Parts: sequence; C-alpha cells; structure tokens
Amino acid sequence: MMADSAKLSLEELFSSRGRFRVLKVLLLSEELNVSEIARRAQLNHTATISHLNFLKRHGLIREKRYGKIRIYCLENDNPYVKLLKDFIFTFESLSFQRT
Amino acid sequence: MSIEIVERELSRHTIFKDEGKLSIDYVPEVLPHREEELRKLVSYFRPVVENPTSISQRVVIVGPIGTGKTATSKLFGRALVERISKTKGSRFYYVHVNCHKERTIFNVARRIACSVIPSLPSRGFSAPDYLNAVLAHVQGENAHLVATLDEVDFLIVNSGRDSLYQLFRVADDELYNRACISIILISRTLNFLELLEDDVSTILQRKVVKFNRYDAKQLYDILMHRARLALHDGTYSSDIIEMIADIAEEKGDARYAIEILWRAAKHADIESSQYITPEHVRRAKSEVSPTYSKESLLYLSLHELMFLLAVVHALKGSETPYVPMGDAEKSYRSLCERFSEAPRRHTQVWEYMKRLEMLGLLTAKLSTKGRRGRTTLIGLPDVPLASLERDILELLGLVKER
Repeated sequence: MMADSAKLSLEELFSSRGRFRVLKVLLLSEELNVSEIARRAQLNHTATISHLNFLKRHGLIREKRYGKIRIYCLENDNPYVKLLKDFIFTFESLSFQRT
Repeated sequence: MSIEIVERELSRHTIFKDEGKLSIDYVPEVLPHREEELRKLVSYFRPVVENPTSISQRVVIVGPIGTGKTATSKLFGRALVERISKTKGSRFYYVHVNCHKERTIFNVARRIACSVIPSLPSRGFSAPDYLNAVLAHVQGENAHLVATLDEVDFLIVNSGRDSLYQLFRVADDELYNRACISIILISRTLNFLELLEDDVSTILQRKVVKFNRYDAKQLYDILMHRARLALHDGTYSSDIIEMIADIAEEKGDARYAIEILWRAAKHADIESSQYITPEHVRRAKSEVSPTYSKESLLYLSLHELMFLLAVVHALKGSETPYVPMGDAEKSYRSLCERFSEAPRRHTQVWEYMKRLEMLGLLTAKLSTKGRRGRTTLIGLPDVPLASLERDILELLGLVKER
C-alpha cells in the first residue's frame, strides 16, 4: 500500500477541484456511501466514482462491501491520510478564526 | 416591547431544574420498582453476554401502557453498550425500533442498519440487503447486536408475519453457526403470538418478561424520583405527589402520572407560583386524557389526523354516540378542502379508519337493525372531544409545516 501511495504526487492530488472535494468530504466524515459523497461534494455520480477510484488506487481510501452496498472509508493506516487530516482540520480551524 | 417580554420571561425564576427529565422520551438511570423485571431480562441475556458470538436470544416483553417496558429495555441496552462492552471486552450494539413509527420491514431493516452502520445509504436497497449488511458488519467485528422491536404487533399486522420471519432468518444464520443478533419483542399483550406459526410462538412464549401495572405506592416513588430530577426543592410537597399518584393509580400508568406532574408544574410555572398547588394538579388532570396517549397521535400521518378530526367534528355535530362512516367521510372531505389537501378515496380512508381503530383511538361497529342497509358506525371511546380536537389541531399545525 505504501508503495502505491509513494507514487502519489501533490500536483496530482490537488490539481482537480472535484478530486479534492471528494477527499475533503471523506476526511471530514471518515466513511460514506457514494451517493452521499456525490451529494456533499456537489459532483455527479460518474465523476465521484472516478475520483474515488483514483484515491483508492493510491491507497488513501478503501472500499467496504456489504453484499450490494458499497461504502468508502479512509485508509487510516496510511501516513498520508493522517497528514491530510491534520492539514484539513488545522486549515478549517484557522479559516474559522479569521472570519 | 415584545423583546422585553421575551427577556423578562427567560430571566424569570422557574420551578424547573431540568424540564427534559419529565418528557416521555427520557430514560432515567434508575427505574424504581422495575428491578425484578430488569433482573429477569438480564438473566435471559447472561449466556449472550458471556458468549456474544455464538448464542443469540429472543425475548418477549409484555405489559400494559406506561408500565416501563420501553424504558427498561432501553436502560438494559444502554448498560450493554456503555458498561458491558468495556468490562467484557466484546462489542455490543443496541437498536431500539418503534414499529408504530417504522411500519414496514423495510423501514425496520433500514433503521437497524443505519444505526449500526451510519454511513449506509438510506435508500436504494431492499430489506434483505440492509439486514445482510448488518449481519456482515456485526460478524466482522465479532460483536453482538440486540434489536428491540417496540410495539411489534403493528409490524405484524401491517406487513404480515413473514416480515418478522425475514428478520429471524437473518438473526439465526445457521450457515456459519455464528449467532450474533438477538431480538427483543415488546407488545402490550401476547395476542400477536396467535398470528405467528405454532412452532415460532411456542419458542417465544418460553421467554416472556411480564410487566404489571403500578400501584399508588409505586407511582408515588416514581413521581418522587422524577420530581427530584426535574424540579427545584421546595416547589413540590409529598402531598402533591401523593395526590397525583392516587389519580393515576386506577390506570397504573406511569406515563400518565408523569404527564400530570409535568402539566401541573407547567401551570405553576406560567402563573409564577413558587410551588405546585392541588388546583394546578386538578387542572392538569382535566387536560390529560388517560384514554389515549398523545404519543399515539404523534406518528399519525396528515390524512389520518384529518380523518380523526373529521370524526370528532361529525360526533360533535350529531350529538349521538356513533356516526355512520358516510358522515365521517363527508366531514373528512370538507376538512380536506379547508386544509387545501386532495381527499383520499374511500378504500384509503377505510384503511385509516382500521388503523385508528387498532390504535384504540376510535371504535367501529356494524350498524344493527333499525337502519336501512349496513354501515360502519364510528365512535370515540370515552375521550373528551374538546381535548382530542385541541391535540389534533396542535399536531396538524406541525405536520403541515414539516
């Protein structure tokens, strides 16, 4: 998993607004189903799935399956995820203080 | 000017310490006079607690309204999740489903699944999908789920006994020989067992926890306990509590007793009185109707409420104890016009009538001789029309806003 994540470049992760929105939704809520992620990220279903696949490929998230139901959750063992979580929470609290 | 009134009212001394402790949803840490029943429930679940991944249990709780069935099982569930999970090292889930509110097996399954796994989608899947997801999750965590179906008779009458079997089938998943879902069924009587197949009902009859009505002494202790939690010292006397307990003794219904206490305290509070007087209690008693609980109105749909209100109006106009179905429907249609709602057709209205009858909110009987043709006569069991009407109108305002 680490080998996959190592290939991840910052540019790739932050280049797409939609991709980052999907990631942010998951960072803030740990685990969710696709429709809910799409709704919160304000993206369509296909775009959401493609971003999720990217994040999954790079080991940032993983998929849980209960029969037909699929849930995406953060891969908390991945050090990048911890880093991104810290980043998001610090960023959000800073922007809250500034307003 | 008006803002000052709000300010003054909010800063005024109140006799309530914590009003929420008198609400019907509140489950206290201690349930006076229910120790025996709780102990019996726990004894049935002892094997489960010791062996959460291989044994499951099915228990039935029966007793009249307001005898602490729901509170006891919720308290048990809370203890299981908060305490036992920590001391025994195995994880427990507890889900309480009110089948009066969740009327179909789909709703029940979704409710259970979304409580256990909050990230599940709330639509798009079937009841078995949800139940299997729960099973997989609970098994995966080596945990145990206790699901309580409150007022289970509604589920059986509404969606048939197969709905309950569907749940049971998932619960005893013999394929892996790992039982990890226990079920508690709560009902007012054991009559619902007659609707089930013989072998199922005999198994269920073996584990029944029976709740009896409270007597005046027990109601006194319960009221005292709640008053201590909810009201400031010195705002109530033991005489007042005894008076309420005596009023509620006939019904043996703690919910009724607590509602009188709450209303009496509310009257005292509005009048800025320092304490509750017998007059407050008398006024509270006249407002709280023991024959129906306001809670049963809470889950009715807009049109069910409107039909019930229509019956009230029809009865008010006719001055007879019963009105024919036709008259009630006529009154219902005019109400629909008033609320700018499209009236439902006869068959649907008939369904509403049947449901309300089942809830005990109205009585229906076939007309006898002395009238041409046959019709259903609808009446209200000794419910004061004015208070029922007031409650419905209050709720209709809320339902329309939703």
